[in-house]
Amino acid sequence: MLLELLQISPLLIVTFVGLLTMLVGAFAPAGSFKGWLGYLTGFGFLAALVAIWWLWDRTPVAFESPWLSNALRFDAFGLALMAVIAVGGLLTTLTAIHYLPAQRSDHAEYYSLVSFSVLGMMCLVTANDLLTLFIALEVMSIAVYILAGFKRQSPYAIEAAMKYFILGSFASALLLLGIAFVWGVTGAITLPDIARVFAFGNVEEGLGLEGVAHLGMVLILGAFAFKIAAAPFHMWTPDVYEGAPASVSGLMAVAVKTAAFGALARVLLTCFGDDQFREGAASWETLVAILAVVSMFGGNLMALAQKNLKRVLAYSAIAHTGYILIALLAAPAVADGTLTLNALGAGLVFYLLAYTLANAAAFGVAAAIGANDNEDASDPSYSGLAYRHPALAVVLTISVLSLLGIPVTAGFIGKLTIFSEVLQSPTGDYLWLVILAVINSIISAYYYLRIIVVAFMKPEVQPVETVTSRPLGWSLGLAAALTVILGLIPSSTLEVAHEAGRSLVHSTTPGLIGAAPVDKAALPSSAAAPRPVEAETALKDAAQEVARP
Amino acid sequence: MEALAPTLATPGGGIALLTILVVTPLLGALLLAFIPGDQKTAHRGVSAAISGLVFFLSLPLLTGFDATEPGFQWVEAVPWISALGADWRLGVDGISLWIILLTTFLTPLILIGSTSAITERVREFCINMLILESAMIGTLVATDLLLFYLFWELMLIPMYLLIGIWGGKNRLYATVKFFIYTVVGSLLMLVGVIYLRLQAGSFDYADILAIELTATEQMWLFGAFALAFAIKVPLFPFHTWLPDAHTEAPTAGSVILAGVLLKMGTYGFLRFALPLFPVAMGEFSPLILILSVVGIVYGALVAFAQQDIKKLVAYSSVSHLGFVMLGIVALNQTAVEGAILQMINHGISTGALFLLVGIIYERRHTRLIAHYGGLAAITPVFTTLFLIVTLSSIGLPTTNGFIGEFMILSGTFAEGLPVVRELGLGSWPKLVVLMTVLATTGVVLGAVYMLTMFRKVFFGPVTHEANLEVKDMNGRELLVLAPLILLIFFIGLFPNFFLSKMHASVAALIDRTEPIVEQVRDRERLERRGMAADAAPDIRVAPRRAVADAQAR
Repeated sequence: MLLELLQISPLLIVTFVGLLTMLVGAFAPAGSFKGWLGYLTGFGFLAALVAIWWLWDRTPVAFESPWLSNALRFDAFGLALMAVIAVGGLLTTLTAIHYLPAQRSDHAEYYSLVSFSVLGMMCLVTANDLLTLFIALEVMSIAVYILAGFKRQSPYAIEAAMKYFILGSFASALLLLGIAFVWGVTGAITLPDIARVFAFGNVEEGLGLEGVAHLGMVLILGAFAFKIAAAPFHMWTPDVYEGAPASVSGLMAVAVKTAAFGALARVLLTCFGDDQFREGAASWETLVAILAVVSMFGGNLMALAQKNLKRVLAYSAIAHTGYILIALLAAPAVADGTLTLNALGAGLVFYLLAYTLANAAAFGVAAAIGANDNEDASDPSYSGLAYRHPALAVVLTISVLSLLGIPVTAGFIGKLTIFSEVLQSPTGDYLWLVILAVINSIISAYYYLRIIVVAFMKPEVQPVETVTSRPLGWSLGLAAALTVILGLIPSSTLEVAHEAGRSLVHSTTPGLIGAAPVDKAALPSSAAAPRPVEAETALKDAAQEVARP
Repeated sequence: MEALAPTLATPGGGIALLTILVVTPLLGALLLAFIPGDQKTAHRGVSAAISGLVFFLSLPLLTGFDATEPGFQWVEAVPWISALGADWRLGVDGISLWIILLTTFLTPLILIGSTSAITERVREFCINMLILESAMIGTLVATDLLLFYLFWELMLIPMYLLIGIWGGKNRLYATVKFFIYTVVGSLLMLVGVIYLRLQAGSFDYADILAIELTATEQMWLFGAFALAFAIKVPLFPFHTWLPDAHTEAPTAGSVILAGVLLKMGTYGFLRFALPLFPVAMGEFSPLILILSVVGIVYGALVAFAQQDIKKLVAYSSVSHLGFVMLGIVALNQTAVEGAILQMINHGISTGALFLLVGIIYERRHTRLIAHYGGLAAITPVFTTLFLIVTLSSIGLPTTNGFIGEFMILSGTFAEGLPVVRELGLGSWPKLVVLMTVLATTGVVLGAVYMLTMFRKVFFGPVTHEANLEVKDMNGRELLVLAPLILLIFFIGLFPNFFLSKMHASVAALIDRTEPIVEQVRDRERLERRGMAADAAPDIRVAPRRAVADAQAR
């Protein structure tokens, strides 16, 4: 029992910090400075990072209780993304400490909501069954809905929160429907079992069950496309990123996206890893490729016309969703004749980390110019930033160059890794996608450069006043420094990311893949899972139920 | 320092000389960041001292260079990103040696020369220049493709800021245009780099040289690489960013752009496009020949029509780099050596021209030819220096320009293009002769526009009273220009000192690639290809070394 508590310690730490800040916040006098709760929350994320580091050598973590091992899967992939989320949470929390008072929204609830949303994200990337997945998604989303409208006296923030909430609820409903379809067809709820049923369960033909499963897959993909802001499910993104407080937009851009991508990758690559979902007209590979192309072009072309830093970053976030989606199409792992599973390389994980650092810094700068209740992040508000605040301008430049993918930044290594992984595929199917991505990088150069132009080369329109804050400085410095360091010496991080990507296949379907080593630790969970035969009977029951008029 | 000298002087003597050269300017930039922003003199002094130190440190390259060794010298290889197969690999050979020295030589001169031109944000300027120097040296010494790409892209950012912050009126347009143009080329090159990496298993230049590529692969990859290089050169019709960038850039930016950055394109052709994709180079060389000759003539004609001195010099760059490209496609010992020498010459003469234009601009704040006239009587020293540099740019014998252009033209004329050397290939050989003749007229046109400009600016009556007040050159400006003037004559009189160091490397390059290029349009091969297109996949053309290796095994 104690061991299991230690094993899920990252989640417990974040929960504890969230509860503590809520409790303390309730007794703190109104109007007093709440930033110290931010330090506490940041410290909590650091502690969670330490716990993740401690767990890393013990992956995949073997839980004794089946209820825990069925619900959560602490493999290298999940832990790596948990770490990325914790870093994103830490950076954006540090940003908020003096930014919120400057925005006249310094309430203690902010920090507990951040903690709870991070808890949801951490569960989301480690969810091992569809129900945990759904609940984690809701925990994350509801906290973020509130955060988006956290500056409650601002109509923009209210609009952002409403928009995000309504569209987000719609996406949740889609997800739930998709889960219901998949469960109805397979009779299984944990991801490995679902994969097993699809591979061996002989979903009966003629009853249209395959179609139902397929529909479920498409619905789940659509729901996640909302969360990761892939075009054409992106409509909420610019308004919400612009209206929400900058520190919240930062959290949404980095951590929410990382979490949603983690869950999407896990579901698609393991649950729907079977050939029937990967080949054919409406395979998820096709859908992901289409989403990627539409997101890249949509995001980049629309960003060209934007004159507001937050909106540019929002559209660039859409474009980056496109680049990251390409990573899902990396070469499939070699499998035995029965089951082909896609294996991620290092690309997805590393790119998400690079993206987290760059966007945390960029939104950090957007927060820094929000002194004196200024909500505006359009050109005049940071024009000539370099004259008075050279350090901020340099950080902004580094983050923008990383987003653009210029060498000596983490973003370049991320793009390089994703592109080479996709090109590595023996069939070379997605060369066209890589070339489109490169063309998009060229388009994006224009609006990223505009940011540098405004910050460095335009004269000051009005004296740029910034939030003076030491934690904000730490956050920006850390993000910028890590961006450059990861650009220069990415080797060890790449190896970690690689291990994380590969672990997906090994951990989710132990023993099924010829080439992959049998994962001893995961065996109890598979022993507890229904045998294929059982699944088959369950299936027949389900089929009869569906067939019944 | 003396204790180090013997080790530094020997190639690979245990001291990572090239790494030191790449890193020193970066460390200097870091140092500058800690000096308070208002101490402008300190920034100028420290940055000039650091770049001077880098020049001093680069001298062992010259003294210790083994002219008989065709391969890389001072080789360094340290694991870097092992997960991607990229290493920190550096090396120098006869092709890159002089361009590296040109870089380390020009940078301190530029930093000293821009003392009076750059008075705002001096610290940022100096940091930019030092980072740029580091990136340029890195690009030239990298023998790992990813490392090369990294430095190649890194050159962009400081240059972008240099034009965008310290540039002229229309600087934002110019700098964004510059960046977008170059980024278009280099990102497509990135796809090529990744493809080569997947084929070769590492980014190491030697490994990549050893892989066999089919003719089709070579075509596509060459397209990706050559576009990046052609934009940088700039080869006609990719040159339109250059006049804008040159005109809007501050003097320092123009000098570094003309002096070194443009050479990266031609260097890229020699180092990568030619040896890695000889078949494609053969296929494309008639096209490149035509484009470079069009560039020579077009650049000269447009330069003739310019009202702005700086724009005139910018277009003359298009013309001069056409000659360099001509020498590269001619692909014989004389022409290629001429091309490399011409890169250096262009860096020196055009660099000096931009410096001189900058000096007069500081005094009169105009660059229009019509605003000058009769300066010869007012500023005799300035006039003399301008004349020397003009003559060098035209290619007068005893100056450097003559040697380079003469070698390129005679080499091309005597041997033609390797691709069309086979007899009975229709009108191709005649085309080459025609093109060489046209290119030669470029030399004449060069004299026409340069001398016309010179006459209008320096001779005739003084038409503007303000010109009477113009002061002649001061000591600092003379100090900056004197080394350049000396070099103009030194190269013109003793070209062999420079050429001798290139012989081995150029010969090896030509030995490797020329036979392959030569057979590209070989009749039999064309026929075989016609048949192959029907039946079999592409013929693999093995680079010579790979064949030799196979035989040895």
